[in-house]
Amino acid sequence: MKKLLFTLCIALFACFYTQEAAAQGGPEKTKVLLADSTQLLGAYPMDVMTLITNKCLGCHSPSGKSDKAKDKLMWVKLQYMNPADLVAKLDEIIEVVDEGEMPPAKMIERFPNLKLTDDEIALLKGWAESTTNAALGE
Amino acid sequence: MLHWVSKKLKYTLTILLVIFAILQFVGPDRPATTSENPGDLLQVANISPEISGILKSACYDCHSMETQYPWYGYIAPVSWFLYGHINHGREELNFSDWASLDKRGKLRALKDIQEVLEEGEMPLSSYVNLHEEAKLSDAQKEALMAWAKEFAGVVIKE
Repeated sequence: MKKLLFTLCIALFACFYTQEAAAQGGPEKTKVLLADSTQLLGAYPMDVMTLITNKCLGCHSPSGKSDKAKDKLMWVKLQYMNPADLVAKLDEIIEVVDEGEMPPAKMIERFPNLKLTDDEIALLKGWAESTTNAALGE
Repeated sequence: MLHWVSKKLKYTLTILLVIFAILQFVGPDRPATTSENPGDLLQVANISPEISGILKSACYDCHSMETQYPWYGYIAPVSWFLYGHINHGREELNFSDWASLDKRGKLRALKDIQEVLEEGEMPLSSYVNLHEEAKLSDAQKEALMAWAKEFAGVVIKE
């Protein structure tokens, strides 16, 4: 029992320590222009990733069938954009989601579950906004 | 017979002329123009003469407050189409309001500029057909796209 408690303590300590280290090691708040957006997009929050996978990637990924959709947005390419282009793209994402242009009405007609719920719209917009702020160093 | 036709023709023409005359006094207002635009892109940013020249001759009629109306821009109903284009153009992007855009808005505009040029959407072909000076050579398009890309790099650092 004592051994177990000891191990737990060690594990807890390790957890805190790594979290602290991660926080300290984060990107500095200086206006360094990044060559691409890999760092900015680093890790998508799980709920955002799920949303994008379920509702966007059908068309906006290399296996999508519509060239227009792939031309307009390819999620996997976002990380290779320079931050200025990323901000513009995120602004466009916010706009089309806000105005209900995406997913397209035709797609929703065929696959009703593609429709974004209000919560999902808020989630996606929130993510896009905070990523934009990070890209602008704000 | 001939007398009857010409009488009817005369009648029709008179009616058309009256309608045409009335059209000149109804319909939408002409989008306003202003000559002093302190927030205009060309006032607030350092833009090369080459690029400002292209913008002025190919974009500013619809995307600024410095619209230069052609003679048919004063004659209804043709003018109504023009007004629609100009209002829509200014709504999408008004270079005379550049200073009031936030950083995101500027970056979006610069990206959109690159896209519409790349895809040949702008300048509108219907506009270019009537405005020889708005026809951009491939080199001019390339120059404008390169400027937009480069300027975005400046804007994000502001």
